[in-house]
Amino acid sequence: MNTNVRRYRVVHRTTYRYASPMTDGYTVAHLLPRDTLRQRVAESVVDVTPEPTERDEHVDVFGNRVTQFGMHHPHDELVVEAVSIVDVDDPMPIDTGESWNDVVARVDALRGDDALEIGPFRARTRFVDIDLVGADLAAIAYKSFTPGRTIAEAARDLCHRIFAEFTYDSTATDVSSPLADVLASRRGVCQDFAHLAAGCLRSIGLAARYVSGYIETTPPTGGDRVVGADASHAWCSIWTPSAGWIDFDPTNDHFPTRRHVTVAWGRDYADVTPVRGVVIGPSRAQTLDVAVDVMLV
Amino acid sequence: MSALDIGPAFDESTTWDAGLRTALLDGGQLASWQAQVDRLLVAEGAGHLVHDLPVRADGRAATVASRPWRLDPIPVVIDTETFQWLSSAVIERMEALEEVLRDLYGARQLVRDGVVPADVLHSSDRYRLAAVGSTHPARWLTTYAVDVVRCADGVWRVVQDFADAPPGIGYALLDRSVMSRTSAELLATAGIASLARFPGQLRRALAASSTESSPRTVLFSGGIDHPSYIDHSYLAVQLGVHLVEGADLVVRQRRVWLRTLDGLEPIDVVYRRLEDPDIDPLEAGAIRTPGAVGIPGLLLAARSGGITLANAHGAGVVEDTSLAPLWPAAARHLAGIELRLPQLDGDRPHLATTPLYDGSQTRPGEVVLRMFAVHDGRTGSVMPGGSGRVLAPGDSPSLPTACVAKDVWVIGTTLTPFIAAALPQVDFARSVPTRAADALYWMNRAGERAEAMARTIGAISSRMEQDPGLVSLDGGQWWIRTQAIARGVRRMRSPGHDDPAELTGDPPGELAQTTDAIALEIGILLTEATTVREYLSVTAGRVLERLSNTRAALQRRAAAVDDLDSLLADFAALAGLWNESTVRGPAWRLGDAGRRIERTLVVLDLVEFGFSTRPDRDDPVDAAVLEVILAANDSLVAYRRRHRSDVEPDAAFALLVRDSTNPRSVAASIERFGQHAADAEWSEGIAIAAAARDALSLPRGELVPSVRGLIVDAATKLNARWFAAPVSPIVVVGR
Repeated sequence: MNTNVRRYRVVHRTTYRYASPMTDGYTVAHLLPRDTLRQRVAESVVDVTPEPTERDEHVDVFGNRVTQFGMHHPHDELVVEAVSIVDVDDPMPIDTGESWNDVVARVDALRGDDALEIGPFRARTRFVDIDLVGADLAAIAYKSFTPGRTIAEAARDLCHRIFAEFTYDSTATDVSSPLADVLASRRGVCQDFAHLAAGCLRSIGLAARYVSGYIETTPPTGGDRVVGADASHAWCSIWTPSAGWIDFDPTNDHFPTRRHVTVAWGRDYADVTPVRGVVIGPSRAQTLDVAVDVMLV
Repeated sequence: MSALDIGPAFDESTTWDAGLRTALLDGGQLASWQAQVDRLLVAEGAGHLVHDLPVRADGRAATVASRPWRLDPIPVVIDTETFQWLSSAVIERMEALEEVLRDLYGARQLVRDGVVPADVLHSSDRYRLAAVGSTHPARWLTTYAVDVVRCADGVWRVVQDFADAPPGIGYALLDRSVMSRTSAELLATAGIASLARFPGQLRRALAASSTESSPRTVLFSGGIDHPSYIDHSYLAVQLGVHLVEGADLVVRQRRVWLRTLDGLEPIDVVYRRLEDPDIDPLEAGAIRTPGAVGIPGLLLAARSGGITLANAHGAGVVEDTSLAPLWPAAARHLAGIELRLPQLDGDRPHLATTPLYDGSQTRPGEVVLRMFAVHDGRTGSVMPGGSGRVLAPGDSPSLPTACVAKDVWVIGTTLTPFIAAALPQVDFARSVPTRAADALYWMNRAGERAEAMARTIGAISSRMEQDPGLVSLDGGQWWIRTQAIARGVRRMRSPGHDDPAELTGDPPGELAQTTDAIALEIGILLTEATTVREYLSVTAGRVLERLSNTRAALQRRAAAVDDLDSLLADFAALAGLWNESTVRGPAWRLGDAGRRIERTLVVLDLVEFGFSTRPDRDDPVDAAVLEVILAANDSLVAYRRRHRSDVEPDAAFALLVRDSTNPRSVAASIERFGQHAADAEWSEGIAIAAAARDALSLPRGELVPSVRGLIVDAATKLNARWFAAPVSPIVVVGR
């Protein structure tokens, strides 16, 4: 087992600079990785500069770790640096026995704890608006989810088709782009493709999470260059009765994920935004700089 | 479908007794009632659904369109028996929804058992994830409202629930207060239930929502730009709690604090009138309703028990239309309650009608009835009245488009006399929110400036009327210098303001520009006054209403002498009320300091722009100009009484500037400002007042710029020390 564990050290630094000082600031961050069935967090800390006036930590409804802090003195710069050491197991072999149609029926009938753990991830949300663009999403999904096909096979095919049919383009969208833009331009970034995959799955009745985290920066010798390593990354996770949640990365055509560190999951990006804040002060220019480094140690 | 298909149309008034029919439906009386009701509503600032004051002191324009709002002089009448049945059904519904909320944010048995599907629940942006599993609030629903209709089949049905920030209690109380003035006799003799107990019941319910024994409570409004601002401000006055906006409150150490003149004061209960998604901009999915500015960190404080929100954050999920059809099953599942009031569903129903007055006659119309309930954890109480909304033909009952309200009378009751509960009230004389002081300060400055402009232009106009030759006196010298005065008092301190080559305006043009400037200042005064109604007397409200009407007239045409006279009378009334009917305390002190600062600047403007730099004792122009200045400062009579001679510059200057026995002089204003600074133990203000007093002995040429510099500095320092206006929060996101 030990030979199949990779240890990563992740540094995620977010820097805000304000043209004139802000008198007050409040920040909420999803930056501390959580333990999962496949990963254990050895060490994790969020450093804030300048020193915040107050600080809180809590766990949200999905079990993610949330850091909240207040900076109640004038500041023209805010640096939030998260450093984590995380052990990640290789993925388990996937049993591909069940047909996706059976899974939809199972999801429909979920009760008890399962209803609470899985049901929320069939929701329509702002970024995964399966009411607004549900027909378009289902049309994409049904090309992979043909009747009776096993769920893992169909999902692997969907993952590959998003990778092949959509172009990675960091200029095409921004953090608030709706799926309609991505569908129209066939372009986007990891966040868009994670929403797209989740939307396709939810539009046909399956449960899918949006997962926020990182992907290994340095590829193993001979490996493919990965995309999205210089920033935080996002991917999708599909629920199956036999294998539980299977993470896959449509941006890099990984099914299941291999060199990924999970931070948090939710219905969409808004549930797990890495850093979100409110500042109070003059409405002047501000710059934002994000740097992520993921190293195998 | 014709009326025949559903049987004979049912009109409520058929159940009224003959006396009531005569009293309420008397055609002759209705027209005068309507006129009186209109006038009273306007006087309360409630003549519009969204009032339409255009400018704030900070220059920000109000953007929400306004619609005229009226109250039908004929109330909705409900007999006691019906009301008691309805109110027990409303309390039952409120208590059932309380159970539903407790479950949805707690054990979530409804989701586990499939009664409320998880995906539907989590698709609702009214279901607030931040509230799930938090330390349970004592109550989810402290207040609740429900819209009901009586259908043509006689059955009462629910149109919609209001569980987030149920709107309309303020309007309902306001409507009753208006009706009680037009129909006082009828209300007293016909056995109509009084609403007087309800504010106390609401206060008690709010107090019971906190673990503190006498919690400090504020009513959290979106401010003057919020569509329901009048509802909020009227209710705050009835409850005797501070009306606050987002910028008044701040979260520190998981607690909520009110910014006051004495620093931060802890708050225990926030009676929020903003809906869930508006209250904390830090929250995921936070949105901004126009006029809503939330409080960053509020939900962290609520989650950790540092503040009680009433209603609790998340209660709005009850209102989601995709979930509402599930509540009857949910109530049955959780508590075995069969809700007595059925939901209105499907097609537009046929409703029972009730008489409306349409301006010339009565006719049958349809009405939605909003009922209000409060709950203190043990007992629920329903307001024995409510708020009726008239439906325009074809309106969906959930979206009335006719802006006509109806008071609701519960008739035939014998209620026990109301004994007011002894709850601690906010001491307005002591605890003053910073923003309220800020508003009072600017209200007074705008009032003083508007008054000076009106008096100046009045002095000029009346002299020109008496002596049309003045305009061409000495090759137009009088008019050139008079123009300079008018511009000076309009604060047109631009290069060339004293250059005769620039002063080429004609009298009608100057009058029109000054009229515009007066209207602008009155606009600022009214806007600021609207946010601090609780500090002003009821009479002041009437005067403000008259100012508002005059302002509207001034926007249509240049001021006539009559307009100016009525304006000056209103300003005098306002100043009198300010001195005689306002509680003396920090708020009054800062407001008055604003008035003294502005008065000093006005006199300095008059002197700087009006006094000749080459005075000539025998110059007839000089004397005529000085008369304008003295009249503009309301000091001409004082001058005549004292000197009994032609107006002469040195004596005029002494009276306007140095004479502290003249209440309109610079000296008197500085003295009073200094007194306020001393009372507030504000050392910077005390020092500036002393320096300004010393500067009064300088020669005229040095005195004016020196005192002006000191007073402008005083205004800047006062702002920084006492107000330090907080800025709207800016949301930032990082990937």
